[in-house]
Amino acid sequence: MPTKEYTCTACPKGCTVEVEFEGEEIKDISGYSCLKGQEYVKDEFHDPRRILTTTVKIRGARYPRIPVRTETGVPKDELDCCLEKLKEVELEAPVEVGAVVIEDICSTDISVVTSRSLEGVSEKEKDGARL
Amino acid sequence: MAAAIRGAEEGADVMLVERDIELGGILNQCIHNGFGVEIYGEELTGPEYAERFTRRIGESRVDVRLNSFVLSLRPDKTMSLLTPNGVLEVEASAVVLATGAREKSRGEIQIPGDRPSGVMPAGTAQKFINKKGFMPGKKVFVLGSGDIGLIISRRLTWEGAEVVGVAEIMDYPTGLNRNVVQCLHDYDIPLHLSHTVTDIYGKDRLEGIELSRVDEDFQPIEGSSKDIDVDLLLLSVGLVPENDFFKEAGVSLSEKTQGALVDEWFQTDVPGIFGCGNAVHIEDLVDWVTMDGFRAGDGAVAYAGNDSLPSADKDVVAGDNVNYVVPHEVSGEDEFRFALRVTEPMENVDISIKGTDISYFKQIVTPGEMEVEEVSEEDLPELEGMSQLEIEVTRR
Repeated sequence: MPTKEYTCTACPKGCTVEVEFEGEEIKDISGYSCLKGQEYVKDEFHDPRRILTTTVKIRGARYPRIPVRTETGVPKDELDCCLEKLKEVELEAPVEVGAVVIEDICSTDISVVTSRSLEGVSEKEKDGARL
Repeated sequence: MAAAIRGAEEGADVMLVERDIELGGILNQCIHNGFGVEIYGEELTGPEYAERFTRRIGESRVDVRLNSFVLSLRPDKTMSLLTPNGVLEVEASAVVLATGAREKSRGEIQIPGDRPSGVMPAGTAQKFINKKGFMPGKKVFVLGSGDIGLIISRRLTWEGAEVVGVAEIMDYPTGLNRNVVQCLHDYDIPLHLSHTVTDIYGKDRLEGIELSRVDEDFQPIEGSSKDIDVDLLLLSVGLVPENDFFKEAGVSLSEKTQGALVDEWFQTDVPGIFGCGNAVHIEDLVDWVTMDGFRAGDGAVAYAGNDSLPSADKDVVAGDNVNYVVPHEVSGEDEFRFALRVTEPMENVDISIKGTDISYFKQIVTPGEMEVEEVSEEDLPELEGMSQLEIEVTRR
């Protein structure tokens, strides 16, 4: 039967947990030390998700980039798609924290939002400008 | 910011001096999530966490001075500031130094070889990418498996660079397990344990590095070396508290942490000068930094108000399997929190104060994760008459 190995991240111990599976179905889990570990591996097997945090372009702000995040974890396989989509985005200052940048990105039903506010500034107020 | 907020809440006149163009420090470039779990019960990004506090500062009476720098700080708590409006002389009743830490540079770990561009601390690369919008390299090697090194590896991968490997001189990763999995395993980035960089090649720009295996004494093993072509070498080899102002003010430093020696109020041995956050010792979580800041703010207000705090006459010392513990002294008259790092990983342990019943059970402790425990009001009678509190970590 095929197996997959995971390093559990539920605690610092980092158990190596092995999953035996057939198709989409888990047949056996071994190597975990607690229930949290078992849950972690089930999630990782069936639907591994990650929060994506990156930046997009912004005009008229102190910095040329503004940090953004997915509101919750997106499926791991969709990370590349999300990154590609975000490359095309350019915002215009001022922007508030939590503003929606892309709704339902890559059909994940999850929004990408800004993770800080950036006010609109004049050229001389930009980062790196002389005071 | 936490210390300033607490000071203002308690009715003190507070001035907050920041050399950058905005408040928030390193949080503003740490765009990944994982901040605020202890305080807010949610995983915020660094900028989100910082903004919650800058808003509170904005709503408070704190006098914020951006683009400003302390030129000199004297033990009597007078100082000269350089501000956009000129030099300012300030006489404070209490001073809290929340100056953070610096990354160790190439010079501090003495890697031989050429001196091309393309060798920098991981945090500098993080600033280039996340704030300035520059990519500092295309083919990258990372020395050190601390959290910054792991997180920047994922960040560079997401931005299209190829991270060819991470080397760690210890035989275990020094960053959090979660980061090893989510930043390296997820992208098949190899982690070379017991390895270090032993040479650097390149005339103007970095062209390659020499990677070698090390023995138990961390010495390179002959014949184990191989060359790797890269145009960027990032160093994630630890942080050192920014302690220049402590030194200038005559504050005693800890040999272990290089930060100030402090009591339970984060007061140093120069009365009225306090320190908190990474300036005292390198913390894992910003939440602890904030809580320490609140406490230092409380201490500073108490000191400024009546010029004294309960005298901290009980030494706190590191016992079995404890690398260091903060604070270094306590009064025993008020509840307090202590933070420690262990020397060796250990399972099923008690963290305890020797000679008392005060003890805390932990399933696992590792040097990479700081342990924080609280000594409550009810525990205090046990400490009466003790002149030294020895904190130890022992197997149950």
